[in-house]
Amino acid sequence: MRLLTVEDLNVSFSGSPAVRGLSLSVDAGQCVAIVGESGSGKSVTARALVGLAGDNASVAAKSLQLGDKDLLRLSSSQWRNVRGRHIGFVLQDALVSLDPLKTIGAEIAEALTQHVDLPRTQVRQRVLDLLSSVGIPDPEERIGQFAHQLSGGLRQRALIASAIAANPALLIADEPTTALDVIVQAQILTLLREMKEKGTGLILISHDLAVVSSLADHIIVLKDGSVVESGSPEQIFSNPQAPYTRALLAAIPSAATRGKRLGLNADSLQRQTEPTNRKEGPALQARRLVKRLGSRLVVDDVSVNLQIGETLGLVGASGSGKTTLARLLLALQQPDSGEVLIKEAPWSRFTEKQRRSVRPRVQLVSQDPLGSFDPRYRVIDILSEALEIVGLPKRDWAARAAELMSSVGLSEAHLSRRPRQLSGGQRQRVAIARALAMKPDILICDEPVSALDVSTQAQVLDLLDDLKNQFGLTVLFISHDLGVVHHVSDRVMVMHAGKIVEEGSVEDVFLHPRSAYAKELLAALPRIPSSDHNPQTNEPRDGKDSIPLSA
Amino acid sequence: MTDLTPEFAGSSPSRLTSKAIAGLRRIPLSVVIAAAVVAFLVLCALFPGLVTSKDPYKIGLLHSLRPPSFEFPFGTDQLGRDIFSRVVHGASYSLSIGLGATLIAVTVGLAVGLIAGNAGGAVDLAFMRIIDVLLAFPALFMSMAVVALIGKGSVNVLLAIAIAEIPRYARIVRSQVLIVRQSGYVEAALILGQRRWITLLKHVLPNTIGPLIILSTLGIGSAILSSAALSYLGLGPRPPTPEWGLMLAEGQGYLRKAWWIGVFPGVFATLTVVSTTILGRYLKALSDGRV
Amino acid sequence: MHIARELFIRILAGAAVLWAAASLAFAILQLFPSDPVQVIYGADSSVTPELRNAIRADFGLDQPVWVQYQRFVTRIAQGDLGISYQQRRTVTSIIGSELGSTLTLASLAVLAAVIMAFLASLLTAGRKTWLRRTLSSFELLSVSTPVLWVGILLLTFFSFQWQLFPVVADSGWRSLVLPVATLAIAVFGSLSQVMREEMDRALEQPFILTARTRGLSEWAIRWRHALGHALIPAITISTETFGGLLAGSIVTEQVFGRPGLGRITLEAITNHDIPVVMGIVLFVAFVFVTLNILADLLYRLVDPRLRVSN
Repeated sequence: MRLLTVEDLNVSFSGSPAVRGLSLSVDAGQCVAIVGESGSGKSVTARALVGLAGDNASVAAKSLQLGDKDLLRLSSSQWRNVRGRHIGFVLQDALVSLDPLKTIGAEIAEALTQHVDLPRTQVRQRVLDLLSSVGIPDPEERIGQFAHQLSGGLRQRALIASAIAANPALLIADEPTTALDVIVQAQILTLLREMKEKGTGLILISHDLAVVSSLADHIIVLKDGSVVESGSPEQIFSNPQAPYTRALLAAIPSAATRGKRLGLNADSLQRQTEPTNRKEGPALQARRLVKRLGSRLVVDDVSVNLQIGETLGLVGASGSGKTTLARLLLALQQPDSGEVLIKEAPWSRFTEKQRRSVRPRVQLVSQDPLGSFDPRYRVIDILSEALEIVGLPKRDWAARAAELMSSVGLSEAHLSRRPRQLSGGQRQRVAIARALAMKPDILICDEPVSALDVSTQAQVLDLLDDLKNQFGLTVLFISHDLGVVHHVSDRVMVMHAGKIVEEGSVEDVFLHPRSAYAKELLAALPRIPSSDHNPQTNEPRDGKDSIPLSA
Repeated sequence: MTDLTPEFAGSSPSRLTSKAIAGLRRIPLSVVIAAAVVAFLVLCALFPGLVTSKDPYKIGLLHSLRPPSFEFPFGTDQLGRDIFSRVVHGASYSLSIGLGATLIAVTVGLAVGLIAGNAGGAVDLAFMRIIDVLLAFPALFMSMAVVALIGKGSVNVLLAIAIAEIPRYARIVRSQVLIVRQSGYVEAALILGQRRWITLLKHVLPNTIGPLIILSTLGIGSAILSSAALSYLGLGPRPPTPEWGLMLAEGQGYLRKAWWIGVFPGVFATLTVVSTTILGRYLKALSDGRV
Repeated sequence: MHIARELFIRILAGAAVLWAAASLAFAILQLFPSDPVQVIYGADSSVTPELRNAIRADFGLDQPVWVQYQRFVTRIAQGDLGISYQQRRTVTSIIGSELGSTLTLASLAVLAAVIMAFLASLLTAGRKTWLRRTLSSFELLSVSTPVLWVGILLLTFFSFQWQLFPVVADSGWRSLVLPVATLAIAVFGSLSQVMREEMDRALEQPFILTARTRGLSEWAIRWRHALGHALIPAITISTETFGGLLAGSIVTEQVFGRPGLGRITLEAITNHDIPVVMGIVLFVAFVFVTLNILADLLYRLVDPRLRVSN
């Protein structure tokens, strides 16, 4: 049964187009996925389908048909009857996707009573039924709780319960798993699949091709508001037509991309397999670090052994203690017990004064480059501060800054910009340039690409790889993204609840995990159902039928 | 892909100038008017003789309580003094008390806040508890209590208003210092190996003072309001000083016969505060990047 | 259970603030000593040394400083704020007899302002209408206009020119209208600005979009979801101003010739009746501390995130 037909949808905001000529149709029990990077128009499309594109948006289409309703002709009160009753909408879980001042029971009841006439006594029972139908345990207890008392996964389930409360035939889910850890993400995807199997039509919006691959019957790839490719998953993954889709697939870091460049111009720079004058030995060591925050053990007996020249990946879910560990290694916080050594010197026991001369050798690239720049500074000021500290004479700053800019792929013109005027990828490049200005031995990268789109992420990962080889850096690479870690690392540590639960070479950890947690994590990873997802390379693969992808 | 081609477009000088002109044109009309009003008031305060030729103190009982006319634009008061001239001469009292009190309050508040925010520990705790106690009192009430202790008069009113405002500024500075100290860029300086005191001078101080200067623009208005209230209550300058609040107090008994006595000093006080507030808010919006 | 414990801690902390305020007041009085004899008999009167000493002993001023401090703190802990130099009554009874009038004025003004601000933000938050522009101009005016001038304007036009309301203070509810309006206008401006800003912010949050996708009407969204978020700053400002109004009504009471705390404060200050000034200072601090505890309880009522400790 056809639920929704969209023909030639156009959305623009005060004259500038956000979506151009999008067409799709959804049947009962079918899932259509819309995939694109930020600014591609995927969320605008989703909102336009429920008439909530915004006051300053103008929406036009050849046809916008929901069952027998012509959505183009609805009055605002008719729209309200469609929302929730005929089309359910699930937002990405943010702490505030549910009203923080209301219980989840009240939120779900509101969605219910808006469209269904029920006596009060039955409302509660229906809400309890809904809570258990989306897999929330102890509904009797949860019904009276507030959003902040629930985990991210439970909040996302509550959002789904509120969207399906009035039993709509069509469900639109906008990035429903983006804020979640891999394991919870897999559970939510399972829940959505069950609903699809029961006959609900589903429109899934995501930036992540892998997430979409397991669920979608049809995939639409959007770029800058236009459809660049539309087809079945098999077609998109094994035989993508548009160059953009191919580039997007190639940009996804994974096992298959190890040792290769992710961005375009893949052959322009060869990885040096044997860098010259490489030394051996430990660059940074941590012995039995313990850190408590309040009564919680955030870092629990963790030892790290970072060897000169290697890239050590540290992977773990949010809240696993990765960032605290990074801060201990950088001596921004002191461990409760244990110690950190740099080239055998007791780094964590130094006074800050003693540390100061060593600090340039250990630099950080963080997730939030913008926050690490003084808001009053231009790029040149940011680099100059670093150059002054390394003792470069003032007359050489401009030349050195230009040199640094070119090594991170930016131009001299960017020196006079303020970080706010730069894109996310450019900001991260500036942060890397500042770190390079210190001529460091060790680079600690804490989620350096998590805030970036896939294609920008690919460029920054390529850049880090080039710089590592060019300057012989030792890298500790921290990420929640298994694909990224798999792509960049020589060795991997898996962190869970403050402990290192698994450690070993990339192959060992990713192909033969020993710990229960690592096994669960890898099992939950969404995979693209084709081994040859990287159309740029035609090398034979090692016969696996699925490849872990970015989470 | 999306940002593979970095933008190379630099800004040529000519483009910058035209940008500046376009920027000027985009300033809201209300801000332009507010700036003009403030400029006029500053003129009144510095060179009242350029605005009016009449003597604000000259009593003329023959023409007392005259309504506004060509000769007396704002009318005359119960003693026949020209209200326009008195209002113009009054600008200097309000502006100097507003500016002076704010300057003192900001300076002392900055010092206290910087010490508390940077010292931390017991010093911070002690300072902040005292400030909490002082904040328990409404500003006008605090000023009155101070006047009760140090006596009446213009200078004392200025001091009293300043003292009452200090805790507010100190608290703002201290919380701003804490925000800046925990910011990513101060940590970035630490990671680079920057010296502590250079970080303090290069990052903490400028990023604390910037917002404070803007807030103090807004504070001038409230200081002027306090000074008018204190004068009205008879705690400020003595008659026959042409102070706006005092003029309102002196004229109150004649409101039944002469509405203009009560209207014009208030119009000037309100114009002053509205204008400084509009300018302050505009500066704040500029620094927040909202304009 | 933990609410009771936290309340207890808050009350202890409040008592500490009061003790500190009292000590501060005492210290300041030592720095700026005032002479009761001068206040009672005037500056240039000739009073015999015996009488002078007797009066000073009456007020305990002949004792060493630390004994005075001890007595001072003990007295205050028992709710005794001392005796007026001039009126020879206890400060507590002076405040008690004037409190009612100010309390009526302040509570009516805050109530009126809160109701108006609620309506204003419900009607205009998240919208760009002429009503919003008009209201924000009015708010700017109301926070920038001297309270005393608003009072004088109202008096000039509503009482003298149009004779709608009485000029005399004590003639029933009609004499309350103008003073209450004067104060309410001032409170409305700051309250409405902050409430609308908070509601604007709430209306941009994802949970509002969630509510819209359920098919809720615009009015229901404002009423059920956005309003609650504007309540938090509303509580902050109304408790702050209510405390402030008790002392801040000085000006209004003066303009309209009303009795009240403001009037006795002004009298005490002009006459250097230091025990009364200090008594009022401590009373205001007490009100402030109490209102703060009350506000904390109200926050918890409105915002469940504050209910869970840790």
